[in-house]
Amino acid sequence: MWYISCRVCWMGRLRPRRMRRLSRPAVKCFEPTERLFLRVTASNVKDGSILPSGVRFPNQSVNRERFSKPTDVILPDGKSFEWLLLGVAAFVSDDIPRPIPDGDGSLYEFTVEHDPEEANYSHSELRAYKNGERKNKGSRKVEKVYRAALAKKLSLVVPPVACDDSASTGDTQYQ
Amino acid sequence: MPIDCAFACARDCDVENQTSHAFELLGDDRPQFQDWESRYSESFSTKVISLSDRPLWLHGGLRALNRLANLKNNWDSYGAEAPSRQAVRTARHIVGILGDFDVEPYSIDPSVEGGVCISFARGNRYGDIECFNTRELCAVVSEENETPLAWDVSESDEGIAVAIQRICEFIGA
Repeated sequence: MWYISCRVCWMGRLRPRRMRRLSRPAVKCFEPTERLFLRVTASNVKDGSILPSGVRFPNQSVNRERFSKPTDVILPDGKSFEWLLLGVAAFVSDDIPRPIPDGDGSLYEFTVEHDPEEANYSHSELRAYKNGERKNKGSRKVEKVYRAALAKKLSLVVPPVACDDSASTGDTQYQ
Repeated sequence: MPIDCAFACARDCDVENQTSHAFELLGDDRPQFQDWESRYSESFSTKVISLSDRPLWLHGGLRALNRLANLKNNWDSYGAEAPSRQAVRTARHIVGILGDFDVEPYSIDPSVEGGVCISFARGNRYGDIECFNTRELCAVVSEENETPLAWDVSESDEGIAVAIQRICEFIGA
C-alpha cells in the first residue's frame, strides 16, 4: 500500500505507462491460466474469502494479467483516491462459470472479452450471452447461481483495508 | 420485530436512553417505533424485561444493517447502488426472524447488485438470502465443486422461515 501511495504521489502521474493503450489493438485470446483481477471492498470479504454479494452479474470489469500487474486495478483513475483502500481479488479465465440454464430452457453463456480503455489497456469485461445475444441482465436465479459459482473461484491477492467501527464497539463483526 | 431487538439491546439503560438507543438502532423505522410506543407504553418496562433473552449477536447484526443504510451509491467503486431503505427494512425483518430461531448469520453485507445479503456458512457449505432493492428476495446454497442452487423467496414470514430452514439444513446448522 505504501509503495502504491508513493508511486502515485511521487511520480505525479496517476498510472504507469504499461497501463496506457498507446494505439494497441484488443487481443481476443485469453490463456486458460491467465489471471483476471478485480477490486473488492472490505464489506464483501470475510475470513479471507470473497462473498458472492461482492460479485457483479454480468458486465464485471477486470484487468487481465497479460498486460497488467495485480495492483494496477486499484490505481486511481483520477477521480477517486479511495481505490487505494480496496483489495484485489483474482481468478483464472478458465474459472468463468459454465453455461447456466434459465427457467425457459435457454442457456446463459459467459465469456471474458478484452475491452481496452485509453488509460487502462488491460481492461476486460465478463459478459453474458443468451442464444448468442448479449445480456445486461438475467433472471435472479441465474444471477445468484453465477455469482455463487464465481465467488468460490476468487482468491484474495491484496486484502482490503477495513474502515468500520465494529472492532472498537465490541460487536459481533458483521460487515 | 426489529423494535423488540432494539429494546433488548438497550435493556440496561433508563427509558430515555433506551428510546434514543432504539432510534439509533432502528434508523428509518422511527414512525413505526412511535406507533409501538403509543400502543404499548403502559407495558414498556415489562416488554423490555421479557426481551432480555434475545441472542447477543442480534445487536451486532442490527448495527451492521444501520451501517449499510448509510452507504452511498458507488460504494464498491464499480458503480453499485446503495441498499435501499426497503431492502434494509426487509433485511431487518429477516434478522428478527433469525433472532427468533437463534440462527446467527455468517455475514450481513451490501450487495453489488443493489441490496443486502445475509449469508450463512459452515465448512465448505454456503447459503444466503439476498434482499434486492427491487424488493425481490432470492436465496442460494452452494458447496465446493457443486453447481449452486438458487430459488425465489416469498416476502411472507412463512416464506422467509422456509428459506432459512432450507439453508440451515443444507449447511448443517
